[in-house]
Amino acid sequence: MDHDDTAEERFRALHAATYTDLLRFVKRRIPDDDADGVVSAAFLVAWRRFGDRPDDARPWLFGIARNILANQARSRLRRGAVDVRMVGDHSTTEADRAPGVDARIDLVRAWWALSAADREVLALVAFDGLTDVQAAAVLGCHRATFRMRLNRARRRLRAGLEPATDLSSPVETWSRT
Amino acid sequence: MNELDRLSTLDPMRDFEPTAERRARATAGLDDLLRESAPATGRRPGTRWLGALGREPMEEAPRRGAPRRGAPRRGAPRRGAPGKGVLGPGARRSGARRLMFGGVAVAAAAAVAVAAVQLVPNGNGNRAYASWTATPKAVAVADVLPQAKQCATGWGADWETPPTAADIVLAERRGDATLVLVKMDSTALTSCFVLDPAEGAAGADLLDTASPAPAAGRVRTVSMGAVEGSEGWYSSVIGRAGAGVEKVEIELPDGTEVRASLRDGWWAAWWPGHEGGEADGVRIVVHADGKSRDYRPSQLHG
Repeated sequence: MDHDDTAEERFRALHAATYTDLLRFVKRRIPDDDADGVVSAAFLVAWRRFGDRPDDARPWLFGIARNILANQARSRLRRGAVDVRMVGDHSTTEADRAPGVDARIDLVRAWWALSAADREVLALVAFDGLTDVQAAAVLGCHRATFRMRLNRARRRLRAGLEPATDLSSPVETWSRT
Repeated sequence: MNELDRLSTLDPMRDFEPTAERRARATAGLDDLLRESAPATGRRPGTRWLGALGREPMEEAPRRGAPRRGAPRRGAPRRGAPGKGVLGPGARRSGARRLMFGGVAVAAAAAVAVAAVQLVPNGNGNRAYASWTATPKAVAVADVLPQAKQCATGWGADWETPPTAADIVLAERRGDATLVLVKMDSTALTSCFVLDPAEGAAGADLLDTASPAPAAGRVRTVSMGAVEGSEGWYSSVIGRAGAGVEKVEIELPDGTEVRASLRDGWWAAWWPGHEGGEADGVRIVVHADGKSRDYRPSQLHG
């Protein structure tokens, strides 16, 4: 059927365009051994829902994968967030040899002092490279809500990096736009 | 360099590229997938429930007669049919739009949940949640404050100030279960379910309050769907009501009429079963101005 052929071609194009990004997204969150299974499961879901995809399919795919991760192992679900790994997780000795080592160690330490929920919103922007609109789509929340959370997470990360920061300074405000 | 830029230098996948072999395996998997299963065709407005915030719906209604797949793929999510046995194993799941509690805090909003939902053993149509009633009991806001606080706790750091009675927009009881609409930090509106008082909050959603109120006598759905809870599937619908709406009822396929709670321009109901996650699986009857009109949910969302 023409329609199916077209859908298949489009899906193949989507797969080709997003496979590496999706694999990276998943590998940031779970060990490599399990990543291929999650990626293929996400594409399976995407194919079954292909008619419902939004124009920007990449965050939609990420959202599918995120939910598979959350559901496959509830233990990964910390305070409702899918936690994110990071350079330095298991390699402090490697980090020790890198330039800017102090700043880097501070950053890694501040990262792990955050809640998993904070890490997740930060990672969607800093690691996955998503805009706030795209990141909100991954989490299934409103853009304004995502921005509020991102602002709070950034504030806490900054506070973690600069212990002298006055924590009683005014918090960010947000508005529905 | 701000903190986000600094963070990005630590991206564990910064320099990662899949090997040609890995990519070839993925492409082979794609070929299998396309051979085995037909695509979803066409967009089907209104067949899914709007999730939190009414944005791009992430949940999908089960589809009867969807192509049956072969043996589960390695690493693929486990599948099972929800409670009432109307869905074959190949059917689309009416999955948890919300990530559930169960000792774990609720997610602000989850995306599609097709994965790892447990099989529901009793496919005989028996409704769980034994104390549930089709007509809700209105409760004073002071009486549901403990539940509202439980809900707030579930959001973790996202919810900064514990709710007060002034934050509660609507509260109802059906048997043991409490449903409450409560403002988060006095701004965003959330819905929260405490189905079993012993277990605490079962799930919660952030609701979209941005769109204008419906016209007089009309209603709109803001959130609708089905979730698998500790006693089986339950459905919910939450919406806004225009001036003059006197009563809202949800008519289930078996004839049960679920009376929604209605207060301050909001209405809400829940019931055991997964009809709320199906494409127009229920009818919504709106009473206004001495007349009643019934709607398919797809006519009312957005």
